[in-house]
Amino acid sequence: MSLRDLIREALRSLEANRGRSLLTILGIVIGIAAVIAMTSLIGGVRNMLVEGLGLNAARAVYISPMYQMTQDDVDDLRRLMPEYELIEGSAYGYAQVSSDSGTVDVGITGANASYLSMTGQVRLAEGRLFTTQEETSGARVVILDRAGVQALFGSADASVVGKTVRLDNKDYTVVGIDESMPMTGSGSGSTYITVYMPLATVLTDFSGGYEYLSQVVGIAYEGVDIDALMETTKTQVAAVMGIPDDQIDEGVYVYSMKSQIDSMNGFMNSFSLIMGAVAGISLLVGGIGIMNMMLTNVTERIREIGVRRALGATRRDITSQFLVESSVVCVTGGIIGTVLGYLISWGLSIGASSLGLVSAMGGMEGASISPMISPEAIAAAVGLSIAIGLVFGFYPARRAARLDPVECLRYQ
Amino acid sequence: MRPVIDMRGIHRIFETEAGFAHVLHDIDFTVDPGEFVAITGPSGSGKSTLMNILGCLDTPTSGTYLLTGLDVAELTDDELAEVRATQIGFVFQSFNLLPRMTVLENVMLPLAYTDCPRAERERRAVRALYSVALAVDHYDHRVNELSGGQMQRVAIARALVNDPAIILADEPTGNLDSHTGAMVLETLHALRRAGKTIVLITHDPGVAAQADRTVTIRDGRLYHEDERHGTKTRRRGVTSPAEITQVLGRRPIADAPDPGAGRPEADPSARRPLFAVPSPMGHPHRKTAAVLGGGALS
Repeated sequence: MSLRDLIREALRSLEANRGRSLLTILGIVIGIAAVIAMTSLIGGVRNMLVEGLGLNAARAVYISPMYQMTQDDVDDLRRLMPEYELIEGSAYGYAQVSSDSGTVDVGITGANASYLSMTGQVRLAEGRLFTTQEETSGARVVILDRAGVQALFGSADASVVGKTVRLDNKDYTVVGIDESMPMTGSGSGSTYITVYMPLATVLTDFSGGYEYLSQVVGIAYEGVDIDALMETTKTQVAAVMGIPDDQIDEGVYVYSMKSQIDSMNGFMNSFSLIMGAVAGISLLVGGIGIMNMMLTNVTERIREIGVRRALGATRRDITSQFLVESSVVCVTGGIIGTVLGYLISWGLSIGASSLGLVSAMGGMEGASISPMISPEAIAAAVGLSIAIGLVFGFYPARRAARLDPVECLRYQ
Repeated sequence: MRPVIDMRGIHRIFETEAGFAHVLHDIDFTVDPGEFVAITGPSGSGKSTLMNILGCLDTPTSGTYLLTGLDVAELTDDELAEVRATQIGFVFQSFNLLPRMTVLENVMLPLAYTDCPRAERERRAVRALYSVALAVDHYDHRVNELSGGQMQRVAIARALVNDPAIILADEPTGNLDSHTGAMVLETLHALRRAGKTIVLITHDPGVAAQADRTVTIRDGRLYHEDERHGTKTRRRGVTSPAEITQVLGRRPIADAPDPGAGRPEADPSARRPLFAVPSPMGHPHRKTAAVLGGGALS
């Protein structure tokens, strides 16, 4: 019998027992929906946590020298270490602004445009990053975030690009607005904000004459082994800065997010495993439902089996008839379950955001989970449901096929 | 002319918990092409067992059965299914149409188990329905919308559709009133005139009389017309192992007390009762009782 005929007959016989078929499909829907909801939600949470660490955090190496490191050292390092896609220094400065509403403490990060964009520290809502010309000349330009706009201009929504901010009696032109969630703090009547300026500007205007970098960040190329890279980086930094071998460990501090990401991944994996087990159990229950339904179907249709055998159906024909039937139930359940599972994970993530669970899980304030749905997950769900249909349908189908046609025809 | 059916020395022994039931004894039976033969006999005589063997649903414990020259006793389960799909058309007492399907789909069903393409299946089904004179406007009806006589004609069309070597009709008028029964018999006569070979199984001597030739089965032995009141001695249904060994001795089957060794249809496991079904007929113990008491085996 051709597959088309088999599917046609399967649909018809399922329709003949609509109530029973729908209940069985529901069992599979719940199982598949649970699997899909769990995997897409966990994928979404993982993405959120990784993003919370910062863009490209997995390939970032942070270098904090105990000795003064200059821009020249960084340039040397860039030449020596082709493993890095980007290696840039940053410096911090500080200023205070008095306004009507009180004192504003301004933390100034001096970093170039490539550093800000590669580390994901700045995501522009308006305006632009610094130009190369501004970076080399140390131009007095600044990027503010919303909290900064609020603190310095009185309203978070004010249009301030092109306006000037006065810090330490010097005027800085606002060139861009950062949309990323601000790290604000307020206490004892002062407000703390962070602003971004080109590295050269900070080194000139806020370093008090010491042109040393606070931190250097390297972003390794995709696929580079971070652990090994950290070791070579340490050696190279020591070489560039002339730190003797016996002082490397105290003199150069290198770290990466890799271990955090690894442990987070480990946690997420065991979390997925637990959730997967729960979802798997509901699938198992659904599968048992399939088997139960198919056994009833077989018992109800013993006479039909006898007739079909008398008309020339082989045992294999009977087996495939019942297997196709159980697979049709499972695939239908699988498709509905996939859609439902995605809707559930979407609903749960909205619920989690509104209940503040996201920040409780370590996400940035205001961050949201967007459930991940991949074509692989859908293919896996459909494949899984076919597999359930075949596995749990096999025993009833084989039972049907093994019946003696003579006994079947005699059965009333 | 080669007979369509050529049975020689057919025995059928069922193994049950109570021992062995020797249901068919040394049956010799031939049917020539175009013949209309009736097999008659009382309930429990072995009619149904003989029909099951004739229809390749069961295989004999010993003896040879050539269907259009093919030794079906030697075939595997799948090969027997193929024989049923291509050589045999069944007509049952209770019609055995599939209620979910339309008339046309029921008639097309046997062809689904052959490699016949769908368009051709439909064409042949229409032709078969035409030959049993069922009105065209019924073709799309569900079978449970039909009358008994119409259902049996659909069943005959289904038996015809694969152009079988033989049509086996098991009590085709048993569930019909005499008028519709007569119409169904007339349909069989028309087929016979068209050259079909028909074997009719009935307990009704009136129906049997319609056939060209009648054979009678009684207590598992077949009597031809001229020896219906012959002198063969009555045999009990249950046979001693020694007797069975003697019967089986004609065929090289290794283990005599197991009449079905090595043959799929006679495999003892295949004869186990249907699972979890309270079927009096499906229970070997009851069946033995039926055989012993001459009960309703057929």
